[in-house]
Amino acid sequence: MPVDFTLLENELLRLEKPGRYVGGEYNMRLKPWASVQTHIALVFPDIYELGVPNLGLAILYDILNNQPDVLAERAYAPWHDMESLLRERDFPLYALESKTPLASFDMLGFSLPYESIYTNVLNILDLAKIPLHGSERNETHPLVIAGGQAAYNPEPMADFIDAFVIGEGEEVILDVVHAHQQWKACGAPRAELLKSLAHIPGVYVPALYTVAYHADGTVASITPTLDGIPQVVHKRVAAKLPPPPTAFLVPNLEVVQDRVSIEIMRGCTRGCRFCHAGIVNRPIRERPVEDIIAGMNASLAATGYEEVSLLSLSSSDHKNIVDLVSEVQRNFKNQRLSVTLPSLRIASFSVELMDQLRDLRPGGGFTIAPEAATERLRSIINKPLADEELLETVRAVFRHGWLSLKLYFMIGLPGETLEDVQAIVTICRRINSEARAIVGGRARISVGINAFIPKPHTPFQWVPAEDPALIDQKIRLIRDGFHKTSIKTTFNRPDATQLETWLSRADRRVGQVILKAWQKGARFDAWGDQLKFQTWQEAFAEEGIDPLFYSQRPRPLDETFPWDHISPGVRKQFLLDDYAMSLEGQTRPDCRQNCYYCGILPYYRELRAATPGAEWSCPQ
Amino acid sequence: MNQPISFRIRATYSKTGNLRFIGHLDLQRLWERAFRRANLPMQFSQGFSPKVRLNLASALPLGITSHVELIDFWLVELLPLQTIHAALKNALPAELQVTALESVPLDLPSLQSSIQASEFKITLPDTINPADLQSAVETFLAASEFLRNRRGKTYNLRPLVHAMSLEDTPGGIFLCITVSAREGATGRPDEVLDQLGLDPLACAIERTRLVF
Repeated sequence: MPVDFTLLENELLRLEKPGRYVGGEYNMRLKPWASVQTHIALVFPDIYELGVPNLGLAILYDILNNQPDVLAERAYAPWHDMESLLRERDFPLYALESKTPLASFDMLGFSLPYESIYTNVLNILDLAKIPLHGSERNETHPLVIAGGQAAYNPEPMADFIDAFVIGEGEEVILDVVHAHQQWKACGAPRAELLKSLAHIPGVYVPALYTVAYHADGTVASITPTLDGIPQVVHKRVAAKLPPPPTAFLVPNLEVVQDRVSIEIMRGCTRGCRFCHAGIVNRPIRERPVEDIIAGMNASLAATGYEEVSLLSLSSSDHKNIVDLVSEVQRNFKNQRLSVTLPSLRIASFSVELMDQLRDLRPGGGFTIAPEAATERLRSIINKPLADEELLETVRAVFRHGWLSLKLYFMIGLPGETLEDVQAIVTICRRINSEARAIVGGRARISVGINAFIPKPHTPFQWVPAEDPALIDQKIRLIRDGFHKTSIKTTFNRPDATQLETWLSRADRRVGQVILKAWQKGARFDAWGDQLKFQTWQEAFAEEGIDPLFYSQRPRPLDETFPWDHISPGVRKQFLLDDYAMSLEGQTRPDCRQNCYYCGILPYYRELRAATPGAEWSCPQ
Repeated sequence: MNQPISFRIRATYSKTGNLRFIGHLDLQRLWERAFRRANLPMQFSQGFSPKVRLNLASALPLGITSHVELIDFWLVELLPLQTIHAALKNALPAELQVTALESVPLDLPSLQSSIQASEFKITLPDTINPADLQSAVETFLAASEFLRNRRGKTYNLRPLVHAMSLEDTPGGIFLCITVSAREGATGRPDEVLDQLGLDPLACAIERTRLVF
């Protein structure tokens, strides 16, 4: 039952961008409430402009609304002005399609793309008038589930989320819906729903696991309290990529990635040691070229977008990338379209590949991510690249007519010395000269510097984060190094990086810190200018927890991590072995050349056998 | 320069419901995409990033509905108006509807330069006393100057208001105004309402005519 939206409607005109709060987009799906059994609100906990392009939710929106007995609507985080309005008017947060209050839905599904939006999740629950703690919710409240990349360490949000969906959501979301429908039909108490969810492969119900700690604060054990639910929750994986969604919502406002996005591949075999996505999204599953072209045609017809982005973690590694590029150029060159193909390997070959899309080239520059400026450090992080190959690629970029180049580097990497940091300046200045030698004064080099975060489920998860004072020193070194050059640098705020480090490596106890930070007004912490770092420091202090315990502490090799009970399919021993290799500066080539038994194949053996074919890159 | 053969079509459309919260620039983008979806033989602009050639009439301020909005667009092939209408119907969101189509001469001046004024019909809240408002209207019309400040600029509102009248009907009390709609001299209904001592957010505003 919608509340009377007309009471609020005109007030929206007082706000910045009222279009954020009304829906009505082309391709919006609005089903009559009474026509379905299950009502789901998909929630992206940031503003509309960041949430609409989220591919994960677009996929789920499509799948769920295609079920005859389910409807899915959307909600996003209201900006400060809307939050004030909602609180002033005591008006509950609603879904955009039907304006129904979120509290009336059967289920809320939160996307957790990164950790710094956790306070937004709490704020949304509060504005929806749903109890924040799972333990306080009863049969009248929606089931609150969450999924996404941050769900691989669900513990900080364990108090607030009823069930986490680990891995790819396409199939498991329907299992969750089915379990909910069965539960609703039999009228059992809420606890029964949670028990049945915990039996679904890939679903983690934190309330049914207890965490015990050693005296030193590290995790002693994480134990299921119900018979029959797994000790370790393994992610769900789609064996074969289903056809991509095509009827994307065309937003009312200008949004961040205002274009069609199509995954050409999931997973990665490069094994870069710092990369969370490369581990958790294994194995590689490629989409066939025909499906990609068909997806592009259907999406463009359904949306009218002018740009398409072909997504993957490492596009050069798609077996048929050359064929794909040539088919894209052939099929779309006269359609006044631009096509972007990010995440290409640093090689002249990539530049030539991009050049083939010349009729489809969007404005703007070329981007590469060397991450480290010396061969030595690149080997430690397993992203080996000879200096000369980097320079040859740069020359190719400018020779093929691009005028601007963006380079990404990290600082605070394990094994890094000040020489490595100085090398960032040296190599970029060299790149600048090379660029100017080819295109003259029009060359534009820009550099993005991020502080490294040792992420869970990576070989570097045992590594402490760099001391913030040293990060500051390194930033100054780089800034000074680029002084009086035309090279533009951007830095992620070190304190924002620190918060992300704390939240991504935290255990269940940090839930109370997140709650406190939210109570003190923390919102939109992922936004540089919104982050109230001091508020977070106070929240940690008031809860008696030292955040440096999560970020600065070097980890014993046998420590149980708060996320060990969630498995991306890759064995912890594999990560440990890889970490040991990094200490020797030993690289490991792409695992398609040589399988290292990371753990994916043994666990997903049956799935692999049932899905033969070259699209899945593990051996058969 | 070789001009391709083109045909100029003028559509009358309504903008209602949720879409009243979409601003002018966003509306322009919305139309560009709708035309791409409609798969009509559009004329595109030249240059690096070709855009569908279209022209919206005087910007409708946020929050205002209308059934009389105008857009000009150019096709490189002449199609029956019915075909164009059907193609657009499927390609537009529900709250943007084309109600009329006509072929217009290529050499007509642009919509922006042709339109002189806008008429608005404003539904007032029930709490309004018609007699009080009538006298406010008369006072307004008798004055020659209302200096107001909008976005840091001072301007005189009075000459931008060409006509104003109150209609007290069984269906409600309506204020009808005609304001200037030319570049650099556009009267805004919310400014008029505020000058009359009314809260624009308590009223429902609809544009009822674009005056050439």
